[in-house]
Amino acid sequence: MNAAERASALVLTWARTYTRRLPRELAEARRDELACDLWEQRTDASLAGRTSTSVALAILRRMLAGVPADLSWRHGQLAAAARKPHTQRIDGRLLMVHHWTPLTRARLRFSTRRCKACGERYQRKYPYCPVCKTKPGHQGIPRNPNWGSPVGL
Amino acid sequence: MRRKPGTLLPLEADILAAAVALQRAGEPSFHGYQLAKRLSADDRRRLIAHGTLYKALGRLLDAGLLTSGWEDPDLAIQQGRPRRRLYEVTGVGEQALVAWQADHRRARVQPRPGWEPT
Repeated sequence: MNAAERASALVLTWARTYTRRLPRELAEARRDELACDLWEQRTDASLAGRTSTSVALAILRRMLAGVPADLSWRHGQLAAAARKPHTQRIDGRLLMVHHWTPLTRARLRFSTRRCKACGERYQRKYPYCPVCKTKPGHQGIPRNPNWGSPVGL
Repeated sequence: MRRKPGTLLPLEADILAAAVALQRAGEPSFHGYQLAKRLSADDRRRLIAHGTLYKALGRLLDAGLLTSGWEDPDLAIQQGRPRRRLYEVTGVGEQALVAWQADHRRARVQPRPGWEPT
């Protein structure tokens, strides 16, 4: 590994640092774009006959001069991610948090009912429990396996 | 830097001007390093910092002045290099550049009131 490649590796390490905890697609796009930029710069410099050390210095200078912009970009992206509703985040844990806010819990309570026969909770719009086929109010009828699923369930 | 909405920063105008120049030179789409090289050639400066360049490109994308897309990965593998993110100037981007250049030409010609030599 020559000096220019070591400098490129350092830039990519820095990119991994400042893209940590950002949305994955965004972080990968920035890192891929930087990897391409660094490769192009090294190739261009080697075609022009520049030494590896001078290319390494140029790469490091570009990295250091861009640190404030990198940090402010990260800050902006984190702020934008925080403004998005929880449900838009593709993160199971955050979705769970959203579902257990008091309002959602209340909505879930009033839009569903619990089957007295099997104990499953199901939507009130269904005339009977989709699991054991028991109508609301009945204490339970043995489930006939030949009954098909209700349409649309 | 704070600015009025809908206006361009000097760096953004430089990027759009370099992109339009690349388009006129027969490069309809360009990647980040190509743009950095063009900017340094235009201004006889060193290559622009990574952070500054990609942050400005992101702002131009968000404003709809540029569009971007990743090239076919097979092509990059075939050529033995990382895949490129290719940018193109939109019609809105060209209009914004023309408006910015017109504003600055006017500002250079007409000194601000109160600044005329007496």
